[in-house]
Amino acid sequence: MAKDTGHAKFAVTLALALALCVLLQSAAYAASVLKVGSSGDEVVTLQTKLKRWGYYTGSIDGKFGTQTKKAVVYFQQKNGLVADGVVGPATAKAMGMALSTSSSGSSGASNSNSDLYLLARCVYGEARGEPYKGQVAVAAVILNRVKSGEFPDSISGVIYQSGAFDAVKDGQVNLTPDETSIKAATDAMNGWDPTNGCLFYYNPATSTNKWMLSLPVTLSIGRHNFCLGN
Amino acid sequence: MKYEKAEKAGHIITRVIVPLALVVAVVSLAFWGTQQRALADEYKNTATNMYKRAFNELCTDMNDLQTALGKLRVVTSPTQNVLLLDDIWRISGSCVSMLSQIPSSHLDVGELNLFITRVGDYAHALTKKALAGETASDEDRDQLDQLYARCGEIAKDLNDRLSVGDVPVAAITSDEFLTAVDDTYASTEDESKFPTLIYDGPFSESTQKQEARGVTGDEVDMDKARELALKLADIPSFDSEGDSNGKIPAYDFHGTYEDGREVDISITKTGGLLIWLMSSATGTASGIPDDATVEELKKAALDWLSAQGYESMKATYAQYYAGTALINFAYVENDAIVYNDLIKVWVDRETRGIVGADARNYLFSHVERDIPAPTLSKEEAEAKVSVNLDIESSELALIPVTPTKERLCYEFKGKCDGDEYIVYIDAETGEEQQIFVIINTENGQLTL
Repeated sequence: MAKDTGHAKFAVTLALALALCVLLQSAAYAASVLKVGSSGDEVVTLQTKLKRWGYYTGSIDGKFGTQTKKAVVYFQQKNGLVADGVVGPATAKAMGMALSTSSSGSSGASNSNSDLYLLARCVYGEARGEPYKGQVAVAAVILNRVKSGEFPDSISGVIYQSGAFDAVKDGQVNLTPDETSIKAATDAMNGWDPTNGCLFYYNPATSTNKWMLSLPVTLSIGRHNFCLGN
Repeated sequence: MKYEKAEKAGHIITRVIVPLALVVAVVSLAFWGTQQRALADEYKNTATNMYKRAFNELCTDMNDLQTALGKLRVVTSPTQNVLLLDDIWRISGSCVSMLSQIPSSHLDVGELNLFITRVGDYAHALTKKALAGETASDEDRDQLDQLYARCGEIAKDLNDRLSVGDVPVAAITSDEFLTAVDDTYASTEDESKFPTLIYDGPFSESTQKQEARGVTGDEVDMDKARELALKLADIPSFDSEGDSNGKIPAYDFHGTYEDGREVDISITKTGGLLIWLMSSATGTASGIPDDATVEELKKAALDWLSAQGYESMKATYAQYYAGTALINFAYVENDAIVYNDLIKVWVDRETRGIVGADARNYLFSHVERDIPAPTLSKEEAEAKVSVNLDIESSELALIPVTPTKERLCYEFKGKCDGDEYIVYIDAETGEEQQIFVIINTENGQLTL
């Protein structure tokens, strides 16, 4: 009997797990909000605005804490919004901010330049967490490839070339890029090339590509080695 | 009795409900699994079909390319010659595009990609030559013969793969589409798999291996470079330093200002020249500022350039983003703007300080030039411009027509139906050399 109950429990757990999977999947496509625990450039923008308008007195540190929440509630009360301390679409609109969404849609200004936005997405997927110079370097390698005869002749051709970027293979290229990667892509588009003409880069700690590892290294930035190629 | 009832209920749970629940779970899992499998198959088919389509088109393009190259060997009329060359250029573009859509990595198809790009680039260079009235040289005819032969081999090989069904269906999970079996098109140390082409175009070997002509002077050591860099970055010390042997060998430095902003700077090993300086602005302003501010920003950049020894520079274009004004400056000689000799300067919009510079273009192209006086007068050149263009201003400019050739032109800026254009008329021959459309964005501005 104990065994049977065990089976029943297993079946129930399985069903629950399946249902949870479905729920998690749908949650991943919802629009993002800013609330206690959020951090990043959007929070910096939020804090800057609140401080400028006198709702917020704390430091602009990009971290959504209780002080930021209080300021948001204060702002919401003053502006006739639901005072829940969460910055959703309505509050964001009242503040004149654009919130990113976690689906692959692009936000505001970046629409005007799809190449720049794609470049930023690849930089974000491949090199977020790298030093700024390293992010520009990744964008510069992509642009150097476009100019080289050995590679496809467009930014999208280079980025989506088979086997070229891990972030394309595992889908991270579809994440919404942050301000930093957009700026890095812009700087690279404007000509800054910290790699001085490199066509390849790899992470020596994780790369298993023998051919890549055999290339002479031109320079290293952060976790990446950059190479001119042959 | 009561006990019996409870036992009976227990039996119902263990003997009926639990097995039933399990059966339902298993059936629904099986159903779910089958559906997932069908979905996966559908995706795989769709992807494979796209790959196959691209590969088929690649084969067709290679055949067409060979056919066009063949016709070129027997063509006599100048018009047909140019039309064929133009066709080759177009087909090679399509080939490269299809090549990028099959699941093969750069390692497998890089050399083939380069070869096809060069065939098109070469045809385009020959078109320009033909239109300028030059006839093809013996060398050109020789090269075309080689191209015809090699393209034929490639077309045959690709078609053979197609006919024996050597288009792997398992392509989605591997990037071993064209090779793995052999290394027909793989990158190797020597490029002997494809004929070498000698011509003047953006993808030619000579262009890709071009030296930085503007980098001259004595070798400097790290200490000297550091001293120069500290002054340029306006910082007391650096956090880290190194050197790199990219296209221009350089010393690299990284520092952090008191307010937390970072700065990177790169100095050439030869001559101790600034390649680039990159930091960020203190503010976040964007959008085009008012005219007075634009002038101030321009002046700040010009003063800085002149302090670095770059005299005779003219602002040509400006962009405003992330708290900076990025202004392009071109070198001016004999009243002619030399567009190749370009330096970009980033000015902080709040402090008017210099937070970035990029002299790479200048270092690659700047040489002592002997710019001739224009043969045509401005009025004669203006007569060659389309009557549809309302000319607003004109200048003399030295513009690149091939990677190694520059021509002195009159530059006419004007409007047609509200759109802005720049037209370049050769100051010697009166030919129209280039036409640009100006695309104004919310952050960019032509400052000529």
